[in-house]
Amino acid sequence: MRKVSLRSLMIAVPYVWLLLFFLIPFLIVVKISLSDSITASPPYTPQLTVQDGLAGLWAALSEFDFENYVWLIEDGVYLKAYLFSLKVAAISTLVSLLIGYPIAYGMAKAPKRWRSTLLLLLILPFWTSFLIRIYAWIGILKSEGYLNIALLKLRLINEPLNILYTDAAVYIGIVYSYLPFMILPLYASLERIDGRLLEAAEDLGCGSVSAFWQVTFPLSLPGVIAGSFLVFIPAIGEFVIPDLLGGSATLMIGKTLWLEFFANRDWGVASAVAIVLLMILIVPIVLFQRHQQKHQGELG
Amino acid sequence: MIRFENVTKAYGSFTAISDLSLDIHQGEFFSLLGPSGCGKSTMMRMLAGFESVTSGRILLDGVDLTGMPPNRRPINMMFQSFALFPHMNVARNIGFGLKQARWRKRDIADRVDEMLALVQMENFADRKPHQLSGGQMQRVALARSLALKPKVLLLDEPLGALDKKLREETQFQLMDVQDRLGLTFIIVTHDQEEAMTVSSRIAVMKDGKLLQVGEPSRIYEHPANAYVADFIGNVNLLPVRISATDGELIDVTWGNGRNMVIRPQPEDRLSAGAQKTLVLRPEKIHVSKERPEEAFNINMVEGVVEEISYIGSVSTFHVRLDDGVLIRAQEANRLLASRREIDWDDRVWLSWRAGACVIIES
Repeated sequence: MRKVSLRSLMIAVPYVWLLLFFLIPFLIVVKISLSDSITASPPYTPQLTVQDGLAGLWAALSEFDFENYVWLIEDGVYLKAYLFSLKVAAISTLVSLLIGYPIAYGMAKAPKRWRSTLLLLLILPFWTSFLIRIYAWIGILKSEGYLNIALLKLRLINEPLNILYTDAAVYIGIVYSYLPFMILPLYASLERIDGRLLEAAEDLGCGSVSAFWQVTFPLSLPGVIAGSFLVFIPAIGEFVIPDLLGGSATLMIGKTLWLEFFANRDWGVASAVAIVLLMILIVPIVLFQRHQQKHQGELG
Repeated sequence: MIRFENVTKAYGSFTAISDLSLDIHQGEFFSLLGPSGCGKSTMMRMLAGFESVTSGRILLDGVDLTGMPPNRRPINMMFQSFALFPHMNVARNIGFGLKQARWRKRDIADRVDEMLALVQMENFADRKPHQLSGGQMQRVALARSLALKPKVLLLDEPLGALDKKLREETQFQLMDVQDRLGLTFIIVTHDQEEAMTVSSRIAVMKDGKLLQVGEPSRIYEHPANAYVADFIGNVNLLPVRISATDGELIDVTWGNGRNMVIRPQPEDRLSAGAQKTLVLRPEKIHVSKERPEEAFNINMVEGVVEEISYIGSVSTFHVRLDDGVLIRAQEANRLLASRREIDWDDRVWLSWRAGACVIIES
């Protein structure tokens, strides 16, 4: 009996954690998104207090409306920001995949004794602050930065390229930052492909290119999908990179959210933006989860 | 049909195969048998084209295979642990090679059906490999490697992943398929029983060299040397000295001056006084509590039972002779174990006929 209760206690821990630090904050955000903005502190109404009890809750509920969401639809800026974020995330994911696949493939084919070193090198940048690494890109990309100096010295260009504070810089920043998240699952799925499968393919008449497309690539698809989600999902909501590397025209949804919250002090709209972003992300997240479960059964 | 000509394979300073020549004929079920690391897998991989030959050459129907990549050789392989493509169903696995050879879709489907029928897996065409049992995977792997109608099928430890009961069934299935298709099968195994059961000929290998090539009974009954004798089955190896060489039976001395009569083989080169090794299989020795009847062609010795190992169908008796020599003798368990007449520490007589043992070089 006691054993059972201890077990359920252990199982309860993560649920309590999620309740306290995810579900309750989430409900607060939902509540704020349904509230009206006012110039006060905190800047929204109605406010719920424990003292008012159930009657207060009913009174507050009657004041809730979807005004903030209607606003999101009516003002085209938000839709554009969402679409632009999706586009940036999609392109960054594709570029990460194109760069990450050969790297992961090379790592998986490297001699065994090198592999742990290569993995270490891959995650080494994480030992430095993310913010500092993004600032470093400013130093590289600016007009008199290292990239332009190098290109000018090599006489590949005559005048400095204008990369910083453009969308290109945002792509570079996102691809750079999230590339390891693409490579790691790719590497994991490529590495565990049995070499005998390729020999079998060759034995049955495949050339090496054809064997790659018919055996290696399909078997690495779980890694491709996992890596793509791991890049795509955080890239949509990315704030720091477009803020630091992007120009004023680069309006991604994360930045919009920040502006609403801190510059406009419109907590209601900011919360609505966040909730809609979450709704958009839930689709790929759920797809990702289902994919993971399916492949655990098949390949695990 | 297949000829290894002075084939050597070296990995750096390590020589895996040294100057090996071997002929394998059309329609044979040939076994490469040896302990792990003896080079048998290297032989197979060179034949399939996954390893290059360092020197010498391999011929198939007179055509030199050197430099021909695996996907061009009319040789297919059934891999250890089967190497089925996990993302393809059974039908696509079997049809894989045909697709590479650009067969037409309908022809592929027909051939796949034919192969499924051959291995009795008609109802499993849509299954994925992870939904199959070990025995079923083995059959799919067999069907896949036969679909291209190879001239030679290589089987790398084909039954290693199966449990004993299934292994025996599968051995007969392999023999049946080989017999029906009339193909040349070459199997690599470390399991001497498996090699004995399925093969028409066996090559026993050790340290990259062939020790003996021959039919299973030949290898078992007339091993070329002590290593082969010991590797294949249980054996008593006794050092003997030939004392007389004339007549149909010859006399040898062994142990502490004991005499034994043996019936030599026509090819034995015998000279009085020569030191040889005698191969005496345990099952050829009779164990009894009473002294057997004397006969000119029966050898008998007396000793004490030190150990009895019971494996159901037979029991092996470890008998220590009075001069310290240990001899293993095997008797079929004709009675229930509870009614066994011979027990630990009993004095027993061991007897064997003159024609039951073979002389090899020491």
